[in-house]
Amino acid sequence: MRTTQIAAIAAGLGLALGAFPAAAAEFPSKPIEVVIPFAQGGGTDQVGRAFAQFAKPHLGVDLFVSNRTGGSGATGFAYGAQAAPDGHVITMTVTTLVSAPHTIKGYPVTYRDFKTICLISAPPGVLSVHKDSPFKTLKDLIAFGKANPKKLTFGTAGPGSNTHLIGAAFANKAGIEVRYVPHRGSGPVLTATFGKHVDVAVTDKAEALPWLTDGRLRALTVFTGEADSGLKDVPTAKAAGFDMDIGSFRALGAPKDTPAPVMAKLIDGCRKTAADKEFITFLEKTGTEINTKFGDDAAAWIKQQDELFGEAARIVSGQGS
Amino acid sequence: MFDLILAGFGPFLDWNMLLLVFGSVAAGIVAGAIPGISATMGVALIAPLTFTMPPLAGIMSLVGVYCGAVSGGSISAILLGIPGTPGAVATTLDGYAMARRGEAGLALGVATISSLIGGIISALALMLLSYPIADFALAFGPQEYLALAVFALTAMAALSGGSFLRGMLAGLIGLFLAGIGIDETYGVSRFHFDQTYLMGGISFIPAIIGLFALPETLQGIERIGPVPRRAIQISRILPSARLARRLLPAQLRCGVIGVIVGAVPGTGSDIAAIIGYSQGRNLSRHPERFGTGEPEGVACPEAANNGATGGSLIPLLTLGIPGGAVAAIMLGTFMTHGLQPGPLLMQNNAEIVYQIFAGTMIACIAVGILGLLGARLFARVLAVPEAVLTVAVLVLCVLGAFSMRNDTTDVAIMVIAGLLGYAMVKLDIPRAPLVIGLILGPMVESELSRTLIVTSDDRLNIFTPISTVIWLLTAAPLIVPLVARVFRRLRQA
Repeated sequence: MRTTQIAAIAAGLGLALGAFPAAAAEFPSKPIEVVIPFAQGGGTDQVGRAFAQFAKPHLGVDLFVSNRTGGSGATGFAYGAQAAPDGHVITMTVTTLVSAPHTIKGYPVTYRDFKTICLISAPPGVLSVHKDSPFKTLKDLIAFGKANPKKLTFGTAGPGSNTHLIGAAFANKAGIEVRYVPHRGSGPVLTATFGKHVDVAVTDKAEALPWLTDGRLRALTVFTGEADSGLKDVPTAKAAGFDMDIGSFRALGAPKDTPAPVMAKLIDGCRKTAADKEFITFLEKTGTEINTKFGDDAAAWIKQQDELFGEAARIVSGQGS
Repeated sequence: MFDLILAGFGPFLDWNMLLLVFGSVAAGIVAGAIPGISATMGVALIAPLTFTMPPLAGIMSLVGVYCGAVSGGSISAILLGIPGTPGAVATTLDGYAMARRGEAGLALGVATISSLIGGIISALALMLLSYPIADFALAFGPQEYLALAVFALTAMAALSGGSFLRGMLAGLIGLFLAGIGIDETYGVSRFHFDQTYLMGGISFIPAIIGLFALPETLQGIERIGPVPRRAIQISRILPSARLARRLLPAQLRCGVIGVIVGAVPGTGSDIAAIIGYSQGRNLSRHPERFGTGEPEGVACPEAANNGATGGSLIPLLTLGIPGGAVAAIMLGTFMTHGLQPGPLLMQNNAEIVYQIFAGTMIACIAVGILGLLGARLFARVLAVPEAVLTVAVLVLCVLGAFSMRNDTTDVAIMVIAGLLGYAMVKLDIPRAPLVIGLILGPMVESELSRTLIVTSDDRLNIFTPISTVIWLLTAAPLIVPLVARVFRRLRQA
């Protein structure tokens, strides 16, 4: 019994070793498709397009983007997860992949359907208010929320989005009851906050930054433990007594059965692209700060994010909202 | 201020710059005329090319493609009965009817001149009234959007082409289809039958292509026979002075409607065209002629959807708010050039803002010039033998449906929508109301739930000053005739 098992493993290994170099030698043999599960013009789209543009010399083939939109990202993620695992279809795996499965019943994919290539950026969550808002600090906000249950409105990017969970997790920790107003993405949330139609915008830092730098909106807190990934002159949530390190992320993934040698080439390509000065300045101009992790490190980090959002989702459903 | 406006035209005295604007407008017209390439896609396709250009050149390429595409959508709508972009759905009704009557040239001419007028109104608004309009647009919250969406929905009646009940039936089918997929408020997935595709909802570009294009090709096949089709003479292109005078008030009115609808974040040229058409019909002395090839039926939506192009730039340039997908792409382009649209742009880079204002005006004029010069050429499409044209359109339909999201399921949706459309044509059920339902359904639903959330402490807040006015406008066509009748009775008694 034991010998047959060993033989089987050996045979398997032999097969694998024999097969993988061949697959790796073939990769990349044609242009690589970068699947973007969200529409043209959004944050995910910007990062994905920039990657496709700058990765060409580092991966040796053309990369082209395809926006496969719809169903809170389900359409694109499902397509990317079910693609042939040969490395020629890679997907922008973003926060929705670890938030929507917890909040949308029947959401067809999770982060487990992908092998993570690399993490490109991970902006923390930010709470911002209109520049004329009476809430100057997080304390003001919480005090008002406690005195007036269900009076505050939090604008979020919709039911499957991480921003909804971030807002809810915060409200729960702060012990306040608020109304969540879902929008079609973070752009409309920031617009509605600037138009004074909602009190607080829950977004990530990259999305809010352009609005904060020219003073249209004011940040109350940043959900990060590290001061240098926060915002200048804005207290982090940790400093205000909320141990929350949560936000959004933009990563790249390949189908889960992609062979290791192919993964190695993709990871290497991403590592070189992420070190590319032009790529970095290009992203920074659009408000995205690079924050990289590769391969297993990135995968472990995303798994941890999934647990974080899972917990937040349990809190939200416990509240019955 | 006026010297700033004039100085804005400076860079366009350069031949290269002028050539770039005309070139991108021409590219936009072609993109818009191809069903499946919407204005948004055209702009998204061209955007990466602009990153290496100087800022003004890059942004003007996008503006040019945008203006061209919105106008180009009417070409296929008029000639083939297939709206090239969602903004041209309303144009299809009367435009195609005119073409079938042998007035294809005139329809193209009216569409182009209306586009020109709408575009110029929007460029003037951009130059002179940006700030007040932007403040007005910013005042739009859930309550105002809800009122606007319902107001636009009433256009179903105007686009029913005579049979109100059949129009309503089609509209309700559209609203039902719009409900498929994950809802935006609570994330509940409806009628998806465990199909990932359906969770994303029915994407309306393939549906529009199918609904309009496929029935035309099927009818084309029915017409193919031993009898050769008589060659279509290209009629005059420029409207007579009398017709031009008659159309002008409608064009001006719809241009203004377009600017406002375009400036409000989240609504764009498609909704502007729908509202423009229905207002044109409601205010017409001959509403019964709409749908049978009335030139106003072409002028109104075309003036409105081009008015929306400049309109959508207003919140982007003054407040940094991307009101729609096209503006979002432009925002990205600004930022890659190190410019942040918003209040500070006007302070720090007023020069480029005024150059963009001037450029928008020039792009609109380019739309007019190229449209009128090209009309005769475009109309030659009708000289292509039906047997060839039908097949070519069919190929375009499949490509257009597929290219939207590179999804074969979209092709299947296109075919299903096409068979539905064919059945509707045979049963004499208008198709435009279905499209309105499909476009406005998600908006009405999500704005209604947002309104209910933000007004949960005091329901009377549903009636804000702006929303009350829109609700009254919505109710006016129902109430005014009744009141008028009562008055007439009273006077007789």
